[in-house]
Amino acid sequence: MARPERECSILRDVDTAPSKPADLPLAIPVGEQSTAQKHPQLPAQELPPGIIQELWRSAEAEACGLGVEEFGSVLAAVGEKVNHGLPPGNHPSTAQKAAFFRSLHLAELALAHACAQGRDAAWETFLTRYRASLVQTAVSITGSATLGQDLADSLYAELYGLRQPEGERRSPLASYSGRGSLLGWLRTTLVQRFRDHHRRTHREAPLENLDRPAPAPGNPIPANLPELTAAVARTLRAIAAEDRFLLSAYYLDRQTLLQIAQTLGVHEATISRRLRRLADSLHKQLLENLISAGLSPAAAEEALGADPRDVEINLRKLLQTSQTSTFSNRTRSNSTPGKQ
Amino acid sequence: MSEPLQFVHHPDADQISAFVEHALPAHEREQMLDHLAVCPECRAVVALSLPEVEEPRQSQPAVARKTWWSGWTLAWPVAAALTASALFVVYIRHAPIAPVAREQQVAVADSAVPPALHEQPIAPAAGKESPRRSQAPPASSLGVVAGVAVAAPKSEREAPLPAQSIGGPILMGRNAVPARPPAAPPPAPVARDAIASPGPDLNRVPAVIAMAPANAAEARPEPAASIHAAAPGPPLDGQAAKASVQTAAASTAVTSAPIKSANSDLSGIEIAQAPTKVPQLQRPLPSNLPVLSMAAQAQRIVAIDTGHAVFVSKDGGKHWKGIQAPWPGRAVKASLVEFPAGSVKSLTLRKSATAGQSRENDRPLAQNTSGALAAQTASSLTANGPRLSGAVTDMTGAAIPGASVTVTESATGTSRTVRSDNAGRYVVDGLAAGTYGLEAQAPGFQKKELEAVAVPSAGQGIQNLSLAVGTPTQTVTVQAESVEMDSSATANAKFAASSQRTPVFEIITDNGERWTSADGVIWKHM
Repeated sequence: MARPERECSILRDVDTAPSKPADLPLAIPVGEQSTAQKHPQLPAQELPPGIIQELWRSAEAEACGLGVEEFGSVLAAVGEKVNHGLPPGNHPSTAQKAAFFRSLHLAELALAHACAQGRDAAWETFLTRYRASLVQTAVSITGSATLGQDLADSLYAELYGLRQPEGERRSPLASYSGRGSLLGWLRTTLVQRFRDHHRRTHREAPLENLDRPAPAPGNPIPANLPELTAAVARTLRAIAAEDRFLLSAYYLDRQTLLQIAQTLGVHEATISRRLRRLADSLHKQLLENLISAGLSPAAAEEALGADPRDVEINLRKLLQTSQTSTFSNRTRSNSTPGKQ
Repeated sequence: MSEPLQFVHHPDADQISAFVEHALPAHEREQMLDHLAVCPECRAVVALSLPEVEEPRQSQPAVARKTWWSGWTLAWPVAAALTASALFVVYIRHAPIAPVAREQQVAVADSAVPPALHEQPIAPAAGKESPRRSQAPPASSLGVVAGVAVAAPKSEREAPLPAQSIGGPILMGRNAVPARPPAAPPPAPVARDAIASPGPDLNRVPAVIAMAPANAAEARPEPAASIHAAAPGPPLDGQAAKASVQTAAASTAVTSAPIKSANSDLSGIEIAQAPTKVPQLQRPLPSNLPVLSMAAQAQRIVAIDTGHAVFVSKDGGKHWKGIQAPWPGRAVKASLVEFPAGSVKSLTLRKSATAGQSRENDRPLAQNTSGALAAQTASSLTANGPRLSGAVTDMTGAAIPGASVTVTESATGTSRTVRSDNAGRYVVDGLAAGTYGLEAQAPGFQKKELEAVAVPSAGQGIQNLSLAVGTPTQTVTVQAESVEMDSSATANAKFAASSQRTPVFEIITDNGERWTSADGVIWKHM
């Protein structure tokens, strides 16, 4: 697992080729795609008609203009996309499929796919329910009423399927799987569109010039920096993905405890405790790795710095992939000056 | 995690929104976190996709633990301490309302004295009253009054001389200053009156009756018996005490001293400490508050509750009726007092001589006339022989504590020096009968000398000393002669004949006003 190289490649892909969720409606992992190809049969078709009928009724898909068969096809596509919530390689049973479909936001799923298919009744319902929320969310994200309104209008047009890149009307709503709420999906889509807008209207420095930042004049580079870098890389690889996300979000993005807690679904006090334990654990593991790399304990301490807070500094230097402020920080500094 | 599960592209909006809403399955969530750890773009998208936060807080690396003293750990003890302090303050503020609770009353019953003599009260309960005021003699009383009641504070119970009163066989100056009527206590407190013997040669019944208006009364057989035995004649105190006992009227407290025979001497005198209990009533007062003070006459009872409301009962406490207070302030004490039918006739006194400032000397003596001192002095006569006692006061009658009193026997020249107590009283006992020179001095006062003060062989010489303000070098020499009380039965009979009195209720307010009423309903300011 050569994760550092993967990180760089991913980030370069991000900056050089912005992601287009509209072009990639289903960002299915490679493994899942292969699993779906191995099982071309629609799992939903194996469901008893009674269950599909029950799901169709509970989704109130008829009000959106979707028939039972159409709704069954939507369910089958969603189930195939995410393998009915199971890890790739697992073959879901009928009960697992039924349980997965029942856990979806069926009404919103039916509405989104009916809108994607251009049903007028569905669009009326969509406008009634989500138009105001869409504008409000866009204003909240952008921090500007004008920009938010423009962004909401643009997304509304995109959702309606005005784009026809290949002569075929395609709506991003078709990528909605119903696992989250439709409003959450709309919000995330708005953020992505705002990110794209930000990229179009702002100039960014290439990453190549920023991968190796020049050392600060008042902070000399330790003599055993290669060993320290390798030790940090080994230490970070050894920790769990959630802990790495925690470190990145807290130390690099400067997210608040509340934001991280909301993202992970835990209390902010838990995040605080985990951060403290993680810093201590990292310090110990870094020392161990440095000593195992041939450094004396004193040299290892010197490499890290006597103050444990230097671990944070080292982490920032070594993990920071871009010296420019992150997207969220820049966005907030632009929208709400003085808060940062 | 498996390598093929790594994201090749960024997660789409559906995955991110499901991740934000925690709707992703575990394996997808792990993939998402793995990607978010290295992708600041997606972290930014996730952060912006979060629902609105009310108030973003400042990030803190660690939450500081609360110290052990924070929170409510110490709040309860502090609250308890404050509450206790508040209760203590309230108690202190209300404690002086019932000063008579600490009163003690001493009475000496003399079986040989005619029943009327038992009802001769002189000194009111001292309680909260100022010493000068409590020492004031009864109105129009110029002589020795036998049968006195003493109400002394508890703290002064064991003083050499009973507090604030001197009673018993007392010979007063010829020109004794009469009491000031407004400031003087009522001449005849009834319920707590006691009976004292006018002379040492009379047999006494050492039953002690102490009645405190604010004290609880435990109706015992002894008090009733002693009361009736001591005062069968006049309906005054006998009925009052009887009513108090019958109705458990709380103002009666009686010692359990046995009633001795008529031939017993003075050694049986006891001092009773009134119990400080709340009076017990047959029915509670309409206010449902404890009784602060109460006085009873026959079936008629006047009671003051702790809210200073006055109630009267005509049927021994079964039914109560509130009284509209005509007095300003708060009623703090209810008692029975007597108004003499005529002027009080003093007993026949034999005063051999009075010279110089004897008038001034006799005034405190008159003011201090009380049964308790008489009881104690009389009781100690037989034990210690002749004694000389008195009070040292200033020209206004205020007691001078710590005054040095030197008694010098004229015949031998031997002298003894004693000091006056807090009430200004001094006692020199163990003296031989004869003539003594008396010298008193106190800082800030002129020294005063009395010559030829006679101490009788079978009695007690009482010589009060009044010092004038001045330097100690100034000396006032007075030739005086002690007096000897006349304890003959004739004098007692005379006094008894003049003691026909009418009991009335009296209420004392907190500002010192006295209001009297014959029926407890209509009150009149004295």
